[in-house]
Amino acid sequence: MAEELLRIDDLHTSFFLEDSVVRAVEGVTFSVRRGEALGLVGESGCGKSVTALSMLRLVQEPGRVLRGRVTFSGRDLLTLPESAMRRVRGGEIAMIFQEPKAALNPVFTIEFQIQEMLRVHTALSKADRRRRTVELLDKVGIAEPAQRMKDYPHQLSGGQAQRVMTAMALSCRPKLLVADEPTTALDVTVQARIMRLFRQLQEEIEFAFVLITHDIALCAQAADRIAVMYAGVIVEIAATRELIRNPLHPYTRGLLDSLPGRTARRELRSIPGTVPDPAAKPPGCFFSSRCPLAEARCRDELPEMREIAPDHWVRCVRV
Amino acid sequence: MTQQTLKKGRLRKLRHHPLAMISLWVLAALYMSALFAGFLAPYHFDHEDRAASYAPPTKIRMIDEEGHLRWPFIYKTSFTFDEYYNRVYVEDTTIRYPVRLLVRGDQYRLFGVFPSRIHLFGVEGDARLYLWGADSRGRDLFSRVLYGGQISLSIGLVGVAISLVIGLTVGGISGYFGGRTDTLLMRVSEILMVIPGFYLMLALRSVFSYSLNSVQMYFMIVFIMSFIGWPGIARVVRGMAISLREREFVLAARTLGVPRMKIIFRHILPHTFSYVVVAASISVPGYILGESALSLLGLGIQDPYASWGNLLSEAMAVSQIRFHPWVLIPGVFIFLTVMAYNLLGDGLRDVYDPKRQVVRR
Repeated sequence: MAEELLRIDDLHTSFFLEDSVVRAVEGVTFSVRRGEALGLVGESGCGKSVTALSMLRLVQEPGRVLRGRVTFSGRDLLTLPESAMRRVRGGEIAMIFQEPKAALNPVFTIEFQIQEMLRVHTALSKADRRRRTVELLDKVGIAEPAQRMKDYPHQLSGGQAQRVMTAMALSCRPKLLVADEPTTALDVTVQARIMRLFRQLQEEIEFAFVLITHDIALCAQAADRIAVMYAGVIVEIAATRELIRNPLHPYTRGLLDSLPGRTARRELRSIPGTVPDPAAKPPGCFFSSRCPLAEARCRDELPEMREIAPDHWVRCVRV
Repeated sequence: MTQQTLKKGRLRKLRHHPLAMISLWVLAALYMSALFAGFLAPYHFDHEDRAASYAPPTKIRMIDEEGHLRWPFIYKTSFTFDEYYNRVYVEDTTIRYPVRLLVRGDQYRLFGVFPSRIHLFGVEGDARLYLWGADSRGRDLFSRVLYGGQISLSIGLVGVAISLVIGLTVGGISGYFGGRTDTLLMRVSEILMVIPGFYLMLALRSVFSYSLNSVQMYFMIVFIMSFIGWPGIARVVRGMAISLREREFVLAARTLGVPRMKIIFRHILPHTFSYVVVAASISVPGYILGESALSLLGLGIQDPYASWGNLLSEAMAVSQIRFHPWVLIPGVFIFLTVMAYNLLGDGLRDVYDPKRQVVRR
């Protein structure tokens, strides 16, 4: 097993609103190994993005990381001084977002924006930065990079913009790339191409990859391991093949059942109900309010994570 | 569409605002006249002639005593007293003094650098051409208005530039950082806004020594005006920064480790450009009027230097306006400039800021 690059332990992040406290992340624990691709799957509002932002210490008021430990390359990111943290962001951990066009600053050329990264994180000369920019754009599959880098974000298509964002994120050779719904805003053919690009880049310039998505099928194609999140906790985590073939948590099964199959025509099933209001989660197992298998003891307390098979952890008392 | 065509498109839109376009040309003409004041003015601003105190505007004639058509010329004037001991100027029609182009006259420095004696027009010999009359010490008002424009017109621009720098920095920091920084900076700006501007101006003036040389005086006025001007800009920029900081590219920049000050200056402030252009144009008149007010009270630019404000101080007595109405001419220029900036600002606002979110100072 490859060595651990990032380990998140018992992370809690809450948002303190005027009349309520939203516990967005309640004890998330997982690790990312060097060079692997981990998928973080879950419905909207289950705390995937907040987990990523907490890890980078970018949660804004009124949100606060309450406790937990984020160990990255042997350092605890939650206690690192802000100046060192800034070097980690972009330098060692880079992140890309759902709306690539919104994530690029409309008033600057893409060349300027990629070079800004290099200016902030490296000591390269102007000529080297230029060369690097062309090289990066070429690597992410932008045709005629030397000309296209003079473009402004509004001149790019969504797919191109996501490629540019990726180039920016990878410009300083981070050890970890976090992609938050990187293809959700793109159409399906572009989505496939972007996912292929990530794979290919990961082989070329080794980095660990965390793919945050609500699309478990996408995850199954792209990730080595999958962590399933629900209502602020991880409910199941296993290698992709294992998780798809042998889903143990009822929520994971629900997610997989809601996918159209490739061969057998069968009725798609959906999970009844909706994600609980994060300010008013059910007692005990958070999934108990929607779980087809729920029984009395499920409502007593939140089950612990248990290793059912090697490297296959699940948070359910019924398994 | 490229950025260039966008910009061109905006300028083209301004063409649909005839008042704004006229204002633009008026301002261009005013600034050019201030820039070339030494050349355009027939005399140095301090060239006095006590024998010509309040000499009325010289009549430029083209027909001589015999009724012949001549190249434009003037007669020399001298004064006698009437029964109330007021000066009465009479023309001496014996000698004609032709108005010549490109004549040699008082030494000046073009753009403050190149020494020259050539003036666009003037008369040679001992007669004096007072296009718009003379002031109490017999100095040519036309020349002084041109020189005065150098101070009055530039003070607006420099003042606004400094206010913008302070306002953008404070507003950007306040809005982006939020919390205690924001509270502190905004309370300071509110204190400045709460004190009536003119009292604050006088109070600040009293901080400085009464006798300053002209350069110090100039920068003192700029300082005072900017000190009063920045809070208004800072407050609006803060509001914009608060909304801009939620934009995804700011989060992306933070995620990628861009330092905070860089985020403020590179990613947030450029987006306030359209507001800033309009605000700048609309607030320039405030600075010009402020300078005029200080100078009018004798607290600003001092004689012999000319600014439109201290030129107007000659017009403070009703008797002056009655007997020498030409001393009001500098006021016409203040009016023209203020009007032009406001109309231009309105035009720019329509072009840059269709939502009309401008806060006037």
